[in-house]
Amino acid sequence: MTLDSFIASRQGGWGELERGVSRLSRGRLRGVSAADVERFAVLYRHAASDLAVARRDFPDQPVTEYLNSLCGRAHLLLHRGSDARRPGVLRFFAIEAPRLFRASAGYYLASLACLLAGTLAGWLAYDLRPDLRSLLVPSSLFDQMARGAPDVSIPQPLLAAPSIFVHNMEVAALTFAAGLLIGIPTALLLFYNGWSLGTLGAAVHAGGYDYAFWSLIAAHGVLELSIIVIAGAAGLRLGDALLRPGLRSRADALASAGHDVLGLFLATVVLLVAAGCLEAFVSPSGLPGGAKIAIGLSVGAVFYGWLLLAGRARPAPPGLDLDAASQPATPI
Amino acid sequence: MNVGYDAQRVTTADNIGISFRVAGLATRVTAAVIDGMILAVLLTALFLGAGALAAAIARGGSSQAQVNVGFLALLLGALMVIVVIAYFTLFPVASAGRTPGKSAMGIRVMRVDGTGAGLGDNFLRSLALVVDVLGTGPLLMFFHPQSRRLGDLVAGTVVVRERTPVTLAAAATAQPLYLRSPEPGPPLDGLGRLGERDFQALRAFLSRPGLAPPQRAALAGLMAAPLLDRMDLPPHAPERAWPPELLLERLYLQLLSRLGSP
Repeated sequence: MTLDSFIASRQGGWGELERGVSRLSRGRLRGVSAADVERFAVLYRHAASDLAVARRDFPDQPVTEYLNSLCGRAHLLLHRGSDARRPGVLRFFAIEAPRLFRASAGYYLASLACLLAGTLAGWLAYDLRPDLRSLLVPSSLFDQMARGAPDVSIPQPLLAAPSIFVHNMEVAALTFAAGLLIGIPTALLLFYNGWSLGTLGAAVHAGGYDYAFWSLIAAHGVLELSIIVIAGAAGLRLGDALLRPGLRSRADALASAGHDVLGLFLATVVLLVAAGCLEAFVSPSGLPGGAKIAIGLSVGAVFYGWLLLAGRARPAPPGLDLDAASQPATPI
Repeated sequence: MNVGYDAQRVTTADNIGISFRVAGLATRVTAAVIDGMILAVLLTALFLGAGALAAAIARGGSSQAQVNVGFLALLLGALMVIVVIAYFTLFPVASAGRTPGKSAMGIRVMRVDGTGAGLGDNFLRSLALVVDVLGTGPLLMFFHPQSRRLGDLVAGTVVVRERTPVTLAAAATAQPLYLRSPEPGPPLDGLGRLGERDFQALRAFLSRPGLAPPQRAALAGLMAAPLLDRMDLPPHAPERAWPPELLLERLYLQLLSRLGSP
């Protein structure tokens, strides 16, 4: 077949495919009849096989370039991202997210260690360098402590709640994304969060207001700090994938780690809404300090109970390996 | 699989390779500037709204009002980041990998395997923007063979060009041939020994512009000699005496009538 007869005999189909691609170029096959989609797929396969022929017979002709670009545009329309692996919301929270957490337990511990190191360092810095105390802790805190209790101004809760959780989501997103710079900024951010807590804790301890301070932050702090630590763990996982990619290329290892921890990050960041509501409604309320601490501890117990216990595989009945049977066939 | 610079190779289910042209640094920065201008308008509106709200709250003048304004400022600062992340996540999801800026530049996001990027992929890309604007983005795009920034690496995506310089009309238009006469001449013996490749070579020779006549004649002589040998013509055949250019022309026309009918 010559180039001219090749083009002449096939260009009707190519033109039809091109018109279809232009019509569907917003990327939606929804609202197109099933027959049209089938026709589109047939035309696409014909064009792809024509592309293979053109590559072999007319490698340097413009028609090869044309077919390549036509097939590329059609391919993107027909092959959307695989939604099959995305579980339902309920299944995701009940099973997938806790499993993801347990798979990253090592990173969680490393992240927690960064935070605690910051807390310890902040506490020690406050105790060991009395000359720097006014720099470490805002002076207004001393005024408030002198008046009796720290932080007594109560904001309008309906405004405070979204402000707090949106701000915390930003902090969590930053902590996670910073892991892309081989994890160092993530570790520094965690250390800084711990440092703030440590210096404040030491300051109120020196003033003898321990109970007032801890009961003020316990209700929301347990959940909030846990989520920041998990975001940090996700960030450290990214950094680790870049530093130690194993047998894969760094890009492949990073992409795989990113998709692995994304679910964990999203599942916990959503809970910052709950933490923000606790901080706006419960923490400044007139409840007794003991009740606030109890609320904080029970919220923490439920949170870690969910992460550590939910979604554990039940022992399979003997002789019936459902997991293996439901695995997709792998090409040999 | 990557083939060379500025190309992303994708293999279809039928094992046919399609190569996408990757969008370069300049195109992507231009698209980002367009998106930035749209975002600037959105964020300005957000600021004006929040400012009006803050003024209304502060009219009370109490210390309670001051605390509320402080929280409003906190909300506003965080919302800016969230709006940017949402913009770069939701637009590509809603319109097949294109933000308005990308759409204007004719580029789009896809996964490296040639499928469309989903919500999770685009969210990871946008989240990484927080880091990429610090300088890693442009730097990596400059050095990476597929112009991928950190966000592309972590999400497994690549940004490709949609527009192509070749249209069907251009591809289907036959290149003009420089023929002296449309006559195929007397049938040539041994034509059956020539095939498709010879035909393509003859076509390439006859469509070549800009050759000075002496050069064209010399080139035709070089091409004709092996063809005549392959055709196995007797040593005194009249065809050997034809001018080489005429011989090539007639060979082409006769092969065309033989091969051209599918």
